[in-house]
Amino acid sequence: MTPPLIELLVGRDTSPMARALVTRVSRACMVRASDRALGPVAARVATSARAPGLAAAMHDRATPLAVVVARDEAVSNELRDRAELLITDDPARLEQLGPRALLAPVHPVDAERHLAIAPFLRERWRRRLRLPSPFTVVLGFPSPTGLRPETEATALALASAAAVRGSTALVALALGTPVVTDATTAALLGATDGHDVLVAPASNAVEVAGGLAADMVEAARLGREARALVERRHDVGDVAHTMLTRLGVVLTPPAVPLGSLRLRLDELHTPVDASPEQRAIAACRALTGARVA
Amino acid sequence: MTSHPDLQGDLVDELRADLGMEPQPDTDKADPVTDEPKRGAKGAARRAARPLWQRFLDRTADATATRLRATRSTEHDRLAVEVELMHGELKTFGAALDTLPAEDEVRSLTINLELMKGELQAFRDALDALGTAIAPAAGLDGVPARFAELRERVNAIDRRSRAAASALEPAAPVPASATEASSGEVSATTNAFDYVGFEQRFRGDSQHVRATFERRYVERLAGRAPVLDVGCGRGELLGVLREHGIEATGLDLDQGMVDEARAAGLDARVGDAVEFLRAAPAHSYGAITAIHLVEHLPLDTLTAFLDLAATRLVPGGLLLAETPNPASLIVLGNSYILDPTHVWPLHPSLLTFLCERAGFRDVRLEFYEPATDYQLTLLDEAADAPASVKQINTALRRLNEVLFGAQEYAIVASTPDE
Amino acid sequence: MDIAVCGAQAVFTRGGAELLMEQLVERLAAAGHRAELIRLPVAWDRKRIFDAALAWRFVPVDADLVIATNFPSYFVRHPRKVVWLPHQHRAAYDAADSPWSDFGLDDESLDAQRLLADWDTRALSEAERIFTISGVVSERLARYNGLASQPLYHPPPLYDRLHPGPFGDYVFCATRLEQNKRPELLVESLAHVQAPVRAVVAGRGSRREHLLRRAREIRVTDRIELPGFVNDDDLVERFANALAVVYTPHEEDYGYVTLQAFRAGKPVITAADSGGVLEWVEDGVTGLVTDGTPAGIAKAIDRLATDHELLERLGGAARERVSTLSWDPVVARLTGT
Repeated sequence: MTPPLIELLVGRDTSPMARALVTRVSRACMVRASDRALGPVAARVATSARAPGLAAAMHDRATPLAVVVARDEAVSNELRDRAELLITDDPARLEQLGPRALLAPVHPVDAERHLAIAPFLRERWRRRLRLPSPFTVVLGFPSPTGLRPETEATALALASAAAVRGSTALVALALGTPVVTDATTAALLGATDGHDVLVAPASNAVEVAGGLAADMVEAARLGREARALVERRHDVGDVAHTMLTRLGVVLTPPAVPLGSLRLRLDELHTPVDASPEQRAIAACRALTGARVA
Repeated sequence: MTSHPDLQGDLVDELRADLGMEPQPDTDKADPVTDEPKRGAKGAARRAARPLWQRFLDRTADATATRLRATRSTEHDRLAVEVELMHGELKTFGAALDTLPAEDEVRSLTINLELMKGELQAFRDALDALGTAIAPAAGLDGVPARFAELRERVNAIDRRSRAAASALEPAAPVPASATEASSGEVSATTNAFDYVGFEQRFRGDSQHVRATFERRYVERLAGRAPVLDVGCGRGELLGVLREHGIEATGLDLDQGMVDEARAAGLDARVGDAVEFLRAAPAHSYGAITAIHLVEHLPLDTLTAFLDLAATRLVPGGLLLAETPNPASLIVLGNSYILDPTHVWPLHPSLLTFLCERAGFRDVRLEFYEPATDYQLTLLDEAADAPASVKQINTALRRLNEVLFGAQEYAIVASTPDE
Repeated sequence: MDIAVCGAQAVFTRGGAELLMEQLVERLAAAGHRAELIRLPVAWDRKRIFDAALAWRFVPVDADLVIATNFPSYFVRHPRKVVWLPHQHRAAYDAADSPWSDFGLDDESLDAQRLLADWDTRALSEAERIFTISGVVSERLARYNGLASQPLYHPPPLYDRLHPGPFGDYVFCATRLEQNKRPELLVESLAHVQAPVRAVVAGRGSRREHLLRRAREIRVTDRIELPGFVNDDDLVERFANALAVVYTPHEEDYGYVTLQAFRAGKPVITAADSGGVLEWVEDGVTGLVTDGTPAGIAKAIDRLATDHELLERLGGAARERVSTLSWDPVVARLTGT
């Protein structure tokens, strides 16, 4: 079965949010801006309200349309009424954009790409991989751990605790890392000192992270809350799923056993290649011969 | 193998490198309980007894496969989306150009376009690196095809961006900074060397060559006029094409060769391939042929030649380049080094890669003339022959392939239909 | 209220978790609720560990309130879910990589542990309130899943019938004869005991033959009795007439034996790594905490056998320690009344 085809209309500047959203969608759909159409288009996504081709797309009423509206972009009444979905990262514009508006995170992260690992399991992974333990990772603070960008996520996934500033903190939070950060980053990410992160000044952030690495109970609690924060506020997968559902590309599973199986597994955030899913589908297939939608 | 995207084996190894730790020895990675069945003492002994180079190859293959697994899931997705986004952004610029913007807007567009070209270049470099990783054929179904498709799209964008640039600045033709100085090298060598005499002495008689060309290329080139034969030599191919009514022009650096061709009434002229093509208008040829030419060109000249060929051919046009096959060791050890004007052996994979990079799509290889005279004779494989005969024959076949395989190959590449 | 108590069923086995569920249903009924026990079979091996958890997600439970107990019954979906956790799937948590766990440190095991911890955290987070049966279980839940919970202590079986009696000439224990309960420690210690004291270990289990063999090897057969299953009347009397109780399990979650011993006015000799037992046994106050070696245990037995005054003092404090245990606050807090 070929994945549904999403035609991409791209404006002059693609915002990080639109980029993350499209990247996430591309894991479930074929996303193409290329001239040559590969087949029937299931839906169109414009990464800007000024994207060329949008006018033509608006006339093609048979194909559902979603538009990512940048902060400085005006939206005509015509577009507001025509598009199935208007995506913005500005909460203040939700009302103005009407009932089809969808709020996306300003700082998006793909939570499914960075599965949470509880601190006690990180300790076991380190033992298995013969990495130092405890392992405190420092990024964006003075005297950072010497890491290349491509190994940062791996280091954070295995860290006992991390002192992280800036956008990388989001990856750390998604991984369920116990995080120490500064007040600015915390405010940007909507994190609360003592609840989902610890806030410390640059002068002793590393020290606080070291203390956190030694406190397994507090580390576990912070890690759990960190992941919950990301799933609640920053997961682009959530927006992508809502978008595809409203565009009719992803259909709500029917209320048959296989459909509810999919819902139950989604509810538990089970990766699609995890063994429970394989086993469950196999068990159901024996009864119905069918596959999960 | 864990399913966690951030803990894939090679990522952990990279992390260890960043932390200044030794890479994890292979024996540590395999868990005796669940990871693969335990290797017995026998297996270990066999492993140890294998030649060093074999073990090195195994390790390299393993590492490549690991990298590709990670690449497929993460980098690959990301790159694919980047291509689409960039494609879309370039379309936006294209649309803006269509509306004939005011002069200062042209300037800002030019700058943006240049920025994007820079981004695109970085992106092509990333694809090249990825291509190198994929090349050893790691056995991942569909990845090379998908990769080629991606690369083709990037190249298409690149061509468009260049076209857009020349639309803005008609005075500046295709930029080819690296190629300006290099095209003199071939002629310098040739002047000091009697190529005509050499060719007649070693390359077989003219009649035989013509028959070969007829068999290999006429059908492909039919209906593709005008054809440009670069490095036309004495004009054998031009002659064959004329016999079949295919309009063709020849080009060669060597005055002696061109004179011979002209004497036969053929349209041939003296000139440097890169200079000639640069001066030619876009889309001016249906096909470009280069018989035993590319191995004479330094890499910079070669890439310039391929880049230009891609733009001077009509959409759907054909590049046909025949060259000795260095993958056959008898070629490398004998005929190849016999010719002192050969610059560097061109491996089929390298030439394919260069063609793809220049923007050709649907790049195919054809292999000709295995050195059958030299091939080792197989043992009689009767039905009741011992198993060892079969093994020996398998080994012999492989030796024949490596030592006395196809002596020549042709690359057949077409430009995209647009 | 209509209350559904949910529990896992390890078919053909019975232990503390089963007793807990049954008693809870009884007590809820006694408090005027309609209560029923819902059980689904579970398999503990790693390959099938997620099956029963997923199955619970599909069970339609129409009730005003569900009280889920052991793994994986708390995967039940209900708008009003309360969890009273006797233990998690310990093979994947504190006991991973131990001889009796099929979760190791290989990639596949670690992946499964990650998913299990993730599922557990999500399913438990759905609950209105999370209670556990002991501080040890709460501590593990905080350590592994980052979840806060309240320990809710309940009286052991036979609480109302157990009574003090004269200090006899034997140390007693009632336990399943399994590896994690470590009954062999008591048997081994007899070789070191100086005082004329016997040992009685009631209960069944797979280690019985091993214990008998060890007793023969170290020549203490005449001082050890393994009566197997004993009925409730017998059990109450054996507690009442014991010198003391020796109970040295490995990382116990709660341990009814301790509470039953205390109720019978007997001090408990235990080991420093016996987990939940240590929430009750305070060294020199309600019992003796040893280093868990046979020699250490023997020394503690000798001390109690020769110091009657100490015995009286510890026994009295032990009975006092459990005097306030009652089901009423347990029922009240679980039902939120």
